[in-house]
Amino acid sequence: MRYQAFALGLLAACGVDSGTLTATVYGEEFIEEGIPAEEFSDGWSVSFDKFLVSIGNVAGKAGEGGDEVGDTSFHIVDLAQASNGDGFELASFDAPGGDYDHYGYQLRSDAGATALNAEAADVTAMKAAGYAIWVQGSATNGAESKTFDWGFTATYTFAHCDLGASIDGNALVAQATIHADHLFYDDAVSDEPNVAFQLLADADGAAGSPPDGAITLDELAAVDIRGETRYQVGSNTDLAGNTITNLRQYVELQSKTVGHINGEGHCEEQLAQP
Amino acid sequence: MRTACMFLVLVGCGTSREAATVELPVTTAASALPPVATDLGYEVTVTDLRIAISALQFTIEGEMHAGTAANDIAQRSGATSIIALPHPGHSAGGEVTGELPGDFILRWNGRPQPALGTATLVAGDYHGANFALRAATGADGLDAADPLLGHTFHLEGTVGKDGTTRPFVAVLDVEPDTTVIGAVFEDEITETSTETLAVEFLAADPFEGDTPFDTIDFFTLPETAGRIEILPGSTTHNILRRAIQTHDQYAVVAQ
Repeated sequence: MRYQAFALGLLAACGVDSGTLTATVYGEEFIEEGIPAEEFSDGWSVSFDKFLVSIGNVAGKAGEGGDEVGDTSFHIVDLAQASNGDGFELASFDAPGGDYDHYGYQLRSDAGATALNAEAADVTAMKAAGYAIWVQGSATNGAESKTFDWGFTATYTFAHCDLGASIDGNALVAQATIHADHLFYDDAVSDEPNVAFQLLADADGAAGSPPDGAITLDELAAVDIRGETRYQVGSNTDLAGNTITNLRQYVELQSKTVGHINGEGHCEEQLAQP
Repeated sequence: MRTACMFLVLVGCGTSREAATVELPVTTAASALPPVATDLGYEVTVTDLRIAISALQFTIEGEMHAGTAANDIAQRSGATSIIALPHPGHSAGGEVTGELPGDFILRWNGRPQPALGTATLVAGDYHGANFALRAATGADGLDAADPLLGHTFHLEGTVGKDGTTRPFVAVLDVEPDTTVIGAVFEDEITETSTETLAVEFLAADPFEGDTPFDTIDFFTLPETAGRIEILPGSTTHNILRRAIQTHDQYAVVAQ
């Protein structure tokens, strides 16, 4: 549902024309084509069979007192499908002129979400499981191969993303850019984490069953990371406020950081709520 | 967390007025650290703890246990739109409205310590404190043989279990740019405040009861000259440094 909220703003955009704001989502080459071994510090590479997100509630505003425009509907998008570098359009709406320094979007399960390019069975499964993000793929290192199938149920909010662009009679694209490599960052504190998979691969079989080549979230939860040199979490806790001690909690923490704007742009607010 | 424009309160656009500020001395708490019991049954007493830090900050709405965790933000703000969410600097991690810039060595050894300096704070209701961890250098006035040199934490103390007590020492490193965010700091600062702000190390988390020494089986660790050593490169070092760098272990109190 598209909307435009007319705030009693202190600032009025003067001398600029309204235009169009188009919300898109893109997983970049890392999701569409895979993350190559040269990106990893430990020889692994990753490809995604599916990278499904339930995305919506997009909103933008030019200036603190500007009029808010947006669309509250949700769409289920498989970012692993090729988009020719364009990503996938979510909504487009009229927008007043001004510098768009406020933009945001959410990833969360929504009963009313519609399929944008996702298969019907996946849409049904996403809703039933309450997934906001659902990744299925494989990792390879030489002759060794592992698969993963991980769903994340949090409500992710990425807000106060600065588009760094203006509307003055023109069309402006706001691209929610999903960074898949963050799921494999080996440190939540360091400014320069490695992209690594070995500890995740070693989780196969950690929950007590024999290694079968498929890494489950339960197996990640069985890996205690407290003795690791990397995988530091600082003062971060899990969604329930508990100390992060295992690899599942760590990956779920990292999932909070996947949302960006227009490529490498950052959103000031990155929230994950149960 | 970002540093807000301190001392300026925006009033509309293009105009500002200076907020009331106060300067308060900052030190480390002088009381001896109490012994704590770990989950493995050890009683750990830290007799001397030093930490190399920088940029002590004080925040309004920043304490991690006071309902300001990110999970609560949408509910607290009553936001119906994600655009209406407060900027992080306004609420999420606490707006930084007080600071003591510079590099410091925090020390707790049961004796009064020299003041770290004088912090400047905007009057307000404070709930949190942050600081950055760093490696100690010669500029900190350390001797060349000081075990803290080049590291972030140096702990000495004793650990006891089943009637046996042994001394221990730990030297810990942290990743560059690691920050402690959201230490407890509950104080209402006014322009007439005169208190001293004392940084405390909490050997046991007052909310959850756990300690940074949990899961460490001290009596299985290597000893040098009869003293248990926890040094960089060991799993035990990683366990201890992970726990001791969280906000749970620190508080700032008004004295």
